Amino acid sequence: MSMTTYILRRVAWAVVASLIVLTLTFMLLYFTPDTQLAELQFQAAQAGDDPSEIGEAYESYYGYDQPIHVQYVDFMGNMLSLDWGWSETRAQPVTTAIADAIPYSMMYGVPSVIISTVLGIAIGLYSATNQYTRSDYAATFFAFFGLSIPDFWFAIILLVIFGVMLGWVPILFDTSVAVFSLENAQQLILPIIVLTLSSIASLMRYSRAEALEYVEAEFVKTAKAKGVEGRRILTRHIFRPASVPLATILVGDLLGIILVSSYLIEVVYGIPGLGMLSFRAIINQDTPLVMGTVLLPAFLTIIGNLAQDVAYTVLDPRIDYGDS
Amino acid sequence: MVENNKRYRTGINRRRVLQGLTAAGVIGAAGCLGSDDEETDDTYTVADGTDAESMNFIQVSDNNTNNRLALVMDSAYTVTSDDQIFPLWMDVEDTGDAQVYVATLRDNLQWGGDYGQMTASDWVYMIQEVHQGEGNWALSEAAGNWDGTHVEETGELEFQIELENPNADWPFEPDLWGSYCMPQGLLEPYVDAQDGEGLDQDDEVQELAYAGNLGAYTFERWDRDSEFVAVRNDDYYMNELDADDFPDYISDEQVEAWQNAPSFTEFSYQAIDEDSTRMSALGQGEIEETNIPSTRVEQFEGRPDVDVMEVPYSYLTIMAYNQRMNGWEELRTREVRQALSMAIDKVEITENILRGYAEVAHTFQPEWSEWYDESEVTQFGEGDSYDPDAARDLLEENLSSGYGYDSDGTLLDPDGEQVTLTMVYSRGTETTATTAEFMGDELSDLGIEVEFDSVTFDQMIPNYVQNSWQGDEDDQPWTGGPNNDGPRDGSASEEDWDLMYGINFNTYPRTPAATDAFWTEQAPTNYFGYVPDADMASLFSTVRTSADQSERQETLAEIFGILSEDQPVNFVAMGDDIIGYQGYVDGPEEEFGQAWDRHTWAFDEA
Repeated sequence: MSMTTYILRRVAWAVVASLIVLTLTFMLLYFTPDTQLAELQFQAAQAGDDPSEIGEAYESYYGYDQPIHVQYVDFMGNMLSLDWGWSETRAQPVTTAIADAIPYSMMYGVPSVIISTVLGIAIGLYSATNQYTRSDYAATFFAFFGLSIPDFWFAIILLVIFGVMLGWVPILFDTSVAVFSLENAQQLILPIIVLTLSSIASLMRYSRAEALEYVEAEFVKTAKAKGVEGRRILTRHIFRPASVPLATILVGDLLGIILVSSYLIEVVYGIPGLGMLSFRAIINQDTPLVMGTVLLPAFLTIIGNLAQDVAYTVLDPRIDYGDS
Repeated sequence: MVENNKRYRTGINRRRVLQGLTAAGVIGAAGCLGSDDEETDDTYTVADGTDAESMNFIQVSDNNTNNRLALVMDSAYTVTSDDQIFPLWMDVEDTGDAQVYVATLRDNLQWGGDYGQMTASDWVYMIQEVHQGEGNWALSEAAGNWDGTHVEETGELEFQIELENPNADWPFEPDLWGSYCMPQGLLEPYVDAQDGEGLDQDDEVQELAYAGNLGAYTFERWDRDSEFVAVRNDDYYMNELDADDFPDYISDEQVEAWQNAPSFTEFSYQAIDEDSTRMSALGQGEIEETNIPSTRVEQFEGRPDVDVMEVPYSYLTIMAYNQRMNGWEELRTREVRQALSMAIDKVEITENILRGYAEVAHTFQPEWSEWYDESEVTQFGEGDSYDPDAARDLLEENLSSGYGYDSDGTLLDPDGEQVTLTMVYSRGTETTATTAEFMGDELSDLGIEVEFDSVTFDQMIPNYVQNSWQGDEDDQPWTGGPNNDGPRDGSASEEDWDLMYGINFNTYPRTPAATDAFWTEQAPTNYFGYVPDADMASLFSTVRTSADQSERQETLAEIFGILSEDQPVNFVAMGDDIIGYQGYVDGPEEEFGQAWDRHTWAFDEA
């Protein structure tokens, strides 16, 4: 099997997985009781209005009075044409809401990913080659601190210290400042620190563990015996084989950490990114928006795994395409 | 030189944005921005916990949306904190029988875009085609308000509203008070196509492009879940009015303030979820105003730079007794409910749990309401009426046979088991959980065990509040809707419960007849299955239809007296709105409805 066929097969599986995700999402939505309608009817009752009338109008307005197959066809058609619906709690299309939110998440997510990837792997490799030294213990302590400390709490503490007590950073996130400005950097520094700390820790531990497998490997010893320079041994003989399993972490764990942390970080710092968007959509029972914010990471994961499979073949020539 | 109504702030304005835009280049050369270069700013910023949902007022009427809309559009008229009608776009007058009202528009109201002058035709079209539209195609939130009302254009700037029945409170009901309108030209294509979604998604609607000179500010931007910004509207119609155009009860000073309103060049609402962030922002002077949870008031007490105001609020917190078929059957006995209410110390709740930012309640009306008559009200749970020993006696005397206390003071049911009640409360705030647990402790002194179910509010409504008829449909004698789907012997909620805490109800102190939505057997909000001995429906009818103020006063006093005696629910407390303002904000008062003149507020000159 050629690499092209392999990739095409992986893409086809990604499409099937997406269709399954969409169908499951529709079924979940269809069978979940509509609490928004219940609240609407309760409000109408308190105002002395007829709750049944508002219920009928609501179902007719949103097409919930249509048979399930009609609703399913509409839903899939809309999904495929990227019409993900209208967010009732934001009064804008779901795709617009997501497109508006992505830049804010990227503003602190991208620097954090870069910093945590570079530093996490570098410190992990350093720890592995300097095992059980003071600096290894210090790095291990740092890693466990980052893993253990709750993001939400840590974010508030940093805000209290640097925002309230020292006044070095603004407390409110200002969406009107320019992306590449000192003010923006000032308001993003704390979110970046919190997110980096939580993601660097796991990367550091993983890369240390992976690298340790190769530190005492025969080919590394051979390289040392041949007098190969230390840095070259680290980057060519240890890091390269260790990078294959690390790629899994980069796509899976890192994505997970960032998506989960973004909920907490964005709520604390008031950043209107994807985490905040998703959090509020869930709290406000904004069904189309919940769906959009759930599907986006699902698709990202599918695409990420696809990219990861392709990356394996590039990073490790020993991997074949399963043509047996 | 700094203008009088301006304040030095280090907040965010256009200059700072421009600074930001050029900062990348500047910092390379200069090393830093001039941080000590404080600037003047007359931006007023309010922080809310949540953002508005939509600018389409037809479908949404929550406080957050209304607050933002009110910046860009005044409404028909408002009501002052002294309960006087203050005309904004129009004045409304009773023709004499409390059934026909005449609304007269000002002659200087201009829509934005090409929609011309606001006329009576716009209003009549809006009411007839949208609020009263067939099948409620636009999902109008006000459809119920206009049901059965006849509206007719009687002049270019005048229209007439004929109610189904006389109602002296009508101007104070939310039908026209605080209501908005859209230009007929904007609505027509959507009315013709009955396209509610199209109207909702119209950019002109969501960006309030039709607002013209109708509000003190002009819409500038709305960053969802973040910030709503409006800037001063130099064409504001109020600026053109003469002193004679204002009601007599408005002072010269107030007239001048309205003629020069607004005093801020920019007004913004920020949505900040996290309480601690919002409180920090208030403490640091980054915002001018925000609501303060009672648990966080202490951090501002004694601070000269922040004014904490306790503003009366019309919502009452209740603990409901489930008198339906899936509640404890003894709760149907009035004296049993009285005993439970007598055993719960409301003073402890208001003073300690709610930190003194609430008042003890005894009936469905605040004490400051003109309809509250203390002589008619029976108290439970305050002072002498908080008496666990007397409550125990009252219980013993009125429980069905088979119930009784054992030697340890445990209340036993006919099977010899301890009486155990389930209290469901809404999860979310610390004080709700603490109060529910406190009430459970208090009832344990009566020998009753209380088990707790903590649920989110949105789960509470469908699973505990809404109920459905359990028998054959043909046997159902009546229905009051999904919250009261028939007589209490035949209708039950999906989940069983006995006591419920965490729902607040509007007591409608300005339109008390509206409380009939709760306290008759077939009332749409009577989810707890209250069956009054008195003919409440008839009493409410008197209040609604009588034009005799003293008769209404007496009848309402009787109603609220009956409720306090019957204890269909435990009327626990009237909460206050706790609002923090920067000390330099001049305008807010600690009165109910204090924000009616918000556009005239200013920063202190000192």
